[in-house]
Amino acid sequence: MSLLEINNLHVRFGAGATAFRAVQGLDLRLEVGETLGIVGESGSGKSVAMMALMGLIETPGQVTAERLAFVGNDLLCARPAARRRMIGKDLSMVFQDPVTSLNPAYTIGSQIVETLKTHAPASRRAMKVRAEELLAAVGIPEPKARLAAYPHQLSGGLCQRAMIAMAIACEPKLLIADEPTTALDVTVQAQIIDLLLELQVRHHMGLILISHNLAVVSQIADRVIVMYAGEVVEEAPARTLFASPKHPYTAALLAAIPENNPIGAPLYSLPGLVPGNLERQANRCLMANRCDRVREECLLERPCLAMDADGRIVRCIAPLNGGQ
Amino acid sequence: MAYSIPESATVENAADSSLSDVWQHLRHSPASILAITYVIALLLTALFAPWLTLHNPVEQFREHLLDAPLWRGGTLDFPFGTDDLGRDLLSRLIYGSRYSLFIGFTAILAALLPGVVLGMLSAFFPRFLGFGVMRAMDVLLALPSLLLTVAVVAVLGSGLINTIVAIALVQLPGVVRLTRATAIGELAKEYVAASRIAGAGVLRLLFIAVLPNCIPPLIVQATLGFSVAILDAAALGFLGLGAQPPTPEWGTMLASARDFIESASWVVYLPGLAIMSTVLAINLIGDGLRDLLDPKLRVR
Amino acid sequence: MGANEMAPVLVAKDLTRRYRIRRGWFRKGGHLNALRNVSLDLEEGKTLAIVGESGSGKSTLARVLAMVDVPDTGHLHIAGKPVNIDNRKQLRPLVQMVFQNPSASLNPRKTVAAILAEPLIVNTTLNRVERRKRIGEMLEQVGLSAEHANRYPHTFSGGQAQRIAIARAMILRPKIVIADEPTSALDVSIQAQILNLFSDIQNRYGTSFIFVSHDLSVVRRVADEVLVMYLGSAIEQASTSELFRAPRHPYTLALLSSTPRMGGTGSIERIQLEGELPSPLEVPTGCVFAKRCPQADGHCVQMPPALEPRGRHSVSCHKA
Repeated sequence: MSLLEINNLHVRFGAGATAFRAVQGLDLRLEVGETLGIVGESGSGKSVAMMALMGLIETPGQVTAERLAFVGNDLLCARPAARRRMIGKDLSMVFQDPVTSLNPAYTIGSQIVETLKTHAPASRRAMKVRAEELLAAVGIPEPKARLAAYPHQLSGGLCQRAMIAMAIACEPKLLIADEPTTALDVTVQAQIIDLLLELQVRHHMGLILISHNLAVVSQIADRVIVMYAGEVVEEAPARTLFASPKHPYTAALLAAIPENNPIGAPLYSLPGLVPGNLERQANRCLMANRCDRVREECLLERPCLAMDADGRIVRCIAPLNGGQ
Repeated sequence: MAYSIPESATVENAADSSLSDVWQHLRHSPASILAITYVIALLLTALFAPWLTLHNPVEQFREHLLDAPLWRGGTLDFPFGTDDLGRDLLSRLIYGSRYSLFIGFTAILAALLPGVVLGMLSAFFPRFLGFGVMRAMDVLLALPSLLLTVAVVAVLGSGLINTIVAIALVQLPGVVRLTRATAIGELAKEYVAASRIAGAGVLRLLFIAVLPNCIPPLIVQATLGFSVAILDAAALGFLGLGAQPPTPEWGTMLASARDFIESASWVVYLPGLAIMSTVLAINLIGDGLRDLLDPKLRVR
Repeated sequence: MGANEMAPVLVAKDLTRRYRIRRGWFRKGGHLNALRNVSLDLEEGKTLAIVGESGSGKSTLARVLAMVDVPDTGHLHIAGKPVNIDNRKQLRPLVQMVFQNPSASLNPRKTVAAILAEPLIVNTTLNRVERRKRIGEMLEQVGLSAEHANRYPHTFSGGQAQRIAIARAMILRPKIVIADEPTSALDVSIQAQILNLFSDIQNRYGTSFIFVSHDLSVVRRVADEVLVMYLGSAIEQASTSELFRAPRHPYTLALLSSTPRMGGTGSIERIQLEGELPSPLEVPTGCVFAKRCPQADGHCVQMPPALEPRGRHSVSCHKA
């Protein structure tokens, strides 16, 4: 039984024909202990998809899916109370900006205790001790003193560690990290990534890492999904994906990284912009207006996510041949 | 070329469609629509008062003292009845709206103009001007507003203009504080630094760069200040300190109607209703505006 | 006179900037040492990168160099002229700035035309027609079109907004443009477009750039020289190729090894930094980096090292 199963997830904002299609037909499967990376730029729908999973999308957003199951439990038909029981305890999320994700009016300690109170209530003292253990587990120095600290008194790195402590407080089976290191300094980024890896191994957690930073994803993901304009355009094991991308968008992302360009020449860059609402409704490949390999067939209908001749999953009628 | 002209694909409405946005938003709120309709109707009646009224508001009809209104068996001659001096109530109410609206407009204008300037300057020069101005405003705020208006009128004398000055003075601290707070927030933003680097001087920074961004909360403040002004004017009128009889100002009308609460209640409740419904309508509009302008600010 | 002897377009010597922190009426305030004796120079037509993490003082330095902030001590010379209170306004057109968050740096209540016209109105005597022409040209040069001038900033994407900000910075044809993390808030593919735009501008106009960044992979591409900052001090300075080939300061080494690279953690031995960045309010007496340095010893804690120049590669470290 998979840890997470998502079939045909759609998220739309607004109603009727002009609704904005933030996520279009996402399929996702995650096994216990696996790390999945979701890569995409702004407008790709990666964060929206995860928020939909957590039940955080409110009207005018609409979430529909054929299947949305966590540890075999159906999340779609679950009532809010049942859903809340599942989420937070077994399914946790860490967000991008730690300083604003924490409540500035409460101490770190009380916020962790509140999480514990909801899902694993115990005596006050027991919960305080557990909170201290958690802070130590995430590498915060002087954990006992830090329990009484307010978010604004901690640096970005410490705040993010505190957020992670809250997220793992109830030993979740799955942790979703949405751009956890983007707001942090480079040296701190490295520490947080190491921490996530270590926690995952220790608790045998599933981990979904969302990022637009390909380098960060390449370091810890087993498998990677690339999203563009609400759709999955490629899915592959991390090493394979980065060594030989099949979809032109993946290749473009890799090519745009400064490291991958010889010094002196202009950086490769993808012309044009991410498709807006109008373009997403058209029945053609969403990359067509920016792709340098575009053909007539690309404009006739939207390609499906399918396995190509080499056994790679890609949404393109003329995928690249490895090593492009 | 390594970079090309990006298509303007993502962004839908290029034009700044504030008016249609306003309509879209208000469409869903029947209270706002009612309120706007009421205020527009009021404005029109105030404007066309001479053509809409049946009688002169100060003319006394000796044979028709305290005539009942239509719904209490009155005649179409005096649909809202007459007061204790035989003056047609409907005409007085309609002409009274002129006074209320005039007082409202001029009072907030008189509060906004110096208030905004003082607020902006104290945001920009916190140590020299800011300190002094804010302490002065604190003094004004320490006095209960009605007492302050009464005090000002006592010093300057009663009458319409002095009423307006008194009301404006009471509203001044609110405007100054709001402007200063908003301006301080805006001054910390990067586009101000960018203007500074472009070479903009203090005046240009304050009034061309920052001021337009401070306007939304001021609009809401002005709308609510309008209704407060009307209430204050009515209060002053009621106390006999504002417009003097026979001026058909709603508060003054209330003052002279005190004795007739039991015998001819319409002389009391009609001006009261007029005040109440106008203030309510304006407050509803202010609320609607606030809802409208806040999320838009966030989006921007 | 060879190219080496051309006077640098910007010279900064011993810039220091301290902020007084008030802690209320009953507690003694402290000083925040944002900059401590920072010196640098920028050669004409070249790009200098200032690298550092939060609290390093790089943004303060950017503001001081842009003449927005006044240093407490130190000198600043732009195009050979010393900067003081009197001539700031005249020198303004020579130094312009591009900010990190493109949408925040554009006045939301002004049209693009008004935003681009402002520097022209304040600093030149062009009339309206001439201004409009210049604005149209500038927009075309940054990859937009003249029609975009009538729109408001919020109707543009992040990348487009940054182009507008660059157009605004370049419209006075400044000698120096200071870019404070101009691509940090942008997606990778847009970042590439903007970086290309910068190099295009440099080729076309010969503008000198000061690029503030924490992203070393970007720095490696765009910069000719790099200045590494930590807690308000300049700790290493070298040409880009030299810095990446043979970094000497332990912090630089740690920074380089922390930069995530494609291909997994195994490829580079990551140097783990102990602890957190100390607060800039309590700057240690000795070397600023001693508390976290894997190579620090007692001497490091006591004595602040000086910036030792060795050719064009300077390091402030006892151990280097």
